[in-house]
Amino acid sequence: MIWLALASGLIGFAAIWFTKGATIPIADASYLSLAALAGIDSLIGGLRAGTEGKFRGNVFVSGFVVNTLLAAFLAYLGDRLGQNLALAAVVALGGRIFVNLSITRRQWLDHRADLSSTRRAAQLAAKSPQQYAGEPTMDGESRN
Amino acid sequence: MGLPLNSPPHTAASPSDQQRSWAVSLCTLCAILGALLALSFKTQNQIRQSNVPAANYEGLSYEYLILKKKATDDERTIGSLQQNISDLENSAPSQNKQFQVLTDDLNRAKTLAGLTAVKGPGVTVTLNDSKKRFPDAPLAVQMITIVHDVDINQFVNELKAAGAEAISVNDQRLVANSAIRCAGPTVYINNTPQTPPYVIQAIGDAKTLDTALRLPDGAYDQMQRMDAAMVRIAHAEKLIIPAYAGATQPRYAQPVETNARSGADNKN
Repeated sequence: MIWLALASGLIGFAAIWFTKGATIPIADASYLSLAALAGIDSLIGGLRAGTEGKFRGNVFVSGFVVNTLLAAFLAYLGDRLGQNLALAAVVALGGRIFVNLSITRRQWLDHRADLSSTRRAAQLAAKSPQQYAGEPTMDGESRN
Repeated sequence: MGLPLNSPPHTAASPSDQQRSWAVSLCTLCAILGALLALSFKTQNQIRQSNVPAANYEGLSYEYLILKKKATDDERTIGSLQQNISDLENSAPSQNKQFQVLTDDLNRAKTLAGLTAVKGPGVTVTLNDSKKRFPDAPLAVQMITIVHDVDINQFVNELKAAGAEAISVNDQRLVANSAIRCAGPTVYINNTPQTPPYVIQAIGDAKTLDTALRLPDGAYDQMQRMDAAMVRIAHAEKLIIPAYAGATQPRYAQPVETNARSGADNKN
């Protein structure tokens, strides 16, 4: 699943990267960068939700679309108003990316620790069945 | 990847139809994100190549606008002042024969000096940077594909030698103290930055001017050999060359009195 997503991302990247005429005016570059940042944020938010088991597809898709457009529009509006609203978006999105990544990392480490302790318990139980007989294994993994 | 993405407690182990539909939307979004990133990288690359400092783009454009406005205002002021001078000169009683002669003299001098707009037949030379790219060629060859101040000077010099009576480059009238000078990516003409294409207009006998420009091994010939698209000569029945718009008040140069007394001094 995750490889499929990565591959499609690469395909989309290559499609634009190798198309000669696919450019935008330099004046609009900052809006586009912000939209891309919002997209990354949504993706990493989805990753976090997935590791927590709370992933909901419709939330993810709508979040991606709305956040991307909103970020670009906010930056544009800020330019029109003479206020650097792009900075607000960068701070908010950047902060969220950091938080979500760190939470994902922690959960991944916890998950690994769980797995290894379960395996150790299973090994110990196999070595001396009489000592560990009847004891419940961690994480509900069945020995039988 | 060791992420437990596929093991949320409420989903089944085998991918259901619902899961598959979400996989499709996830992949679509990833593709869109990839496209966004690619476009963004490309644009940033472009900015880096065009030597515009992206971080300070707004500040620079703001200053540019201010300077541009100031330059326009200044030019308008100069124009109105020169109009004033002309009005004052013309308001002198024209019946007076002496004044008439003086005014005619003055007008001829002003035309020669480039202070009045003039019209007449002539040629238009358009110089543009070559679109050809020679990435493997040495730097010297790559430099030739760009129009330099030297090239414009050569063309202007050739036109002057062939008897052009009024010359302008990009609507900047060339006068006695006009300079054509390289300044980074632009060429300064009369102290105003100009960018390609450079349009040189010259009033004179079109045929003579044309022949002079096309001399073998001249500037035109060399440029033509590099890339024929870089230079174009066109004849024109009626060219209008604007007046010089810069300041005309000499600050240091004082006219030398050449009357009888100083002549007598020299003789003694």
